[in-house]
Amino acid sequence: MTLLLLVLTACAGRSEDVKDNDDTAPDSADTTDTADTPDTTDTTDSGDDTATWLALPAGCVAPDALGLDPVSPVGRYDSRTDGLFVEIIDVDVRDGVAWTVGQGGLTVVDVSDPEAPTLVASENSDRWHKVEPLGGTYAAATHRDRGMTVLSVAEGRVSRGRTFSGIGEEGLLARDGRLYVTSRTEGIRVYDVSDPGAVEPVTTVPGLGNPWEISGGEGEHAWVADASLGVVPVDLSDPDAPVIGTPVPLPGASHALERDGWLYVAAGGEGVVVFDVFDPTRPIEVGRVDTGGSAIVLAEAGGVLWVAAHESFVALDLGDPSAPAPLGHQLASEYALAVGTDGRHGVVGNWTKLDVWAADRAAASPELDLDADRVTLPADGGAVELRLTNRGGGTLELVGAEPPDPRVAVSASSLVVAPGESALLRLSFAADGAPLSGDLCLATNDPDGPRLLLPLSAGDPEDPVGEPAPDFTLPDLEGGLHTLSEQRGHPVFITYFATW
Amino acid sequence: MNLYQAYADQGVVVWAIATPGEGSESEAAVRDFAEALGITMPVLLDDGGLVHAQWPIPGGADAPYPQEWIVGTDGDIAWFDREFDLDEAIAVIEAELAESDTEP
Repeated sequence: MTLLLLVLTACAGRSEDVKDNDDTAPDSADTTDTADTPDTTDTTDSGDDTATWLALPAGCVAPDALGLDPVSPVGRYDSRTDGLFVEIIDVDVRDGVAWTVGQGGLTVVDVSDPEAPTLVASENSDRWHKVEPLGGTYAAATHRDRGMTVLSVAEGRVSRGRTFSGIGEEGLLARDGRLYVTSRTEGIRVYDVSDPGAVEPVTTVPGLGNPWEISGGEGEHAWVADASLGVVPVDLSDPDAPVIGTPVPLPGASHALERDGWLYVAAGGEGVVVFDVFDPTRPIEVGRVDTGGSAIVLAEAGGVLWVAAHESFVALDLGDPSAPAPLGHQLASEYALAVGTDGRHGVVGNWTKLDVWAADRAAASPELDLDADRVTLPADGGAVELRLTNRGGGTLELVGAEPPDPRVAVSASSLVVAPGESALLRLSFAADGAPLSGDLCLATNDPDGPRLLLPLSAGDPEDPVGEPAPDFTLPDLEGGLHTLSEQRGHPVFITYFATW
Repeated sequence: MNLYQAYADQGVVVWAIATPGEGSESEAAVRDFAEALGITMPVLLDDGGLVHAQWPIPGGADAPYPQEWIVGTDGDIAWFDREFDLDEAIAVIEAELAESDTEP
């Protein structure tokens, strides 16, 4: 393979000082930086020799009095129980019915009783990227290589209506009898869906770069999240003649949601970026909220903003709409690649499961989010630092720790972490040549898991085969986005290379 | 043999990933490099190496490049190497394709 031969030649003399991320590392005191995740195999000091490390009290005992979990599960539908296997990457709920699509097809689930979601119909011959209900028994779905198809459900069966061919179609917005489809090649394609059984094209407006999704609030403007251009306002005051406005650059923008003059944009590792869009032609950024993971999709209900962030999701309180506040956090049992709402709950696409969650805005409890789910300590001894973030509305307290082994010591930059803030947890290992394997137990006042078990091992991973690959979404040189978990079912060959 | 051309139509995904540092200057270097080599597969940008640091790399994150991985059809790592062994890589890819053919 030409590429690799050249790279092997060029990189033969590579020394270890080149791949140095220290210049991009934030101050260890900067707790709001979302871009840097501490390397769990980093044997070097964080660089801050003056940090005070506080030892955690010995013992892993949950506190007696815990608050209420701000985020609680309500109901679940697992398509595997019906012999189906749809890997959900988009969810949209309308009139008590959740339409879900992904690899494996389309699954329609009745969520009118959120505690008992049930299957309505499913079609599994194809893959779709996005879905948008059109009202009644109809929905539109897109596939990046085929275009947009109209689907309908009757008597437990999914039927296909017309397909409007296209390349690069993905984002969908149904509004006032019109369907707006964003396309990487065509711009915005407008359809008349006032009778969803007889959809007709209206017009195509060129423009856009790599549009990911289009959504609209109550106002005259819709918003396109575009991987190349950022956030793009679209004037729909004439529904048949959308006018594409001036983009606001924002790398990684994947979904923009407007509520009452505020725009919330899911932007990957940047979390949620908030804009004042009272004048939609001049969005003004007012803040960023760290969500952990990689923020992909948003949904809002009852003053709670739900954010699907890849392997976890968070609930943010919009009491102050300009500054979403941490409320709750949940690690998905598999993935959280999509979220919708029935008007009251967050409806999360958790791989083959559709999970309905409730958020209690009155529960101000801490929510611990550790940035690693296993730790490899350096075989020759040394320390590893992990970041812990409090994604809840109450103060987090680190109550105690019990390492698996007396050679491991646990300390933290702070034993108290305010809502939305982070602290560093430092694990130091006094090596003696013998192997290490076991769980660290960490006790906190997080009601959702007051005793956290973290697997530790010492030594570099000898054989990574069999370990789960880390999920990610990365842009390519053209601005297109690629997500590893979306390739499930296909082997993926990855080569990490350097240009020198 | 060009792995991308040989296996793309069997549903094998092939990605090259670069880890430019801060700023668009490094991204330009990646772009020039990719163009000079005539790379046709997607070249992904792992800015700052944040994703790279999450892989369980033998020898740690500072191990020399290149680093090749095959992620199996189930999302788990099926193969890793630093000395690119084409025959071994092909054997693993063929095994993954055969396994996925028998999946429902």
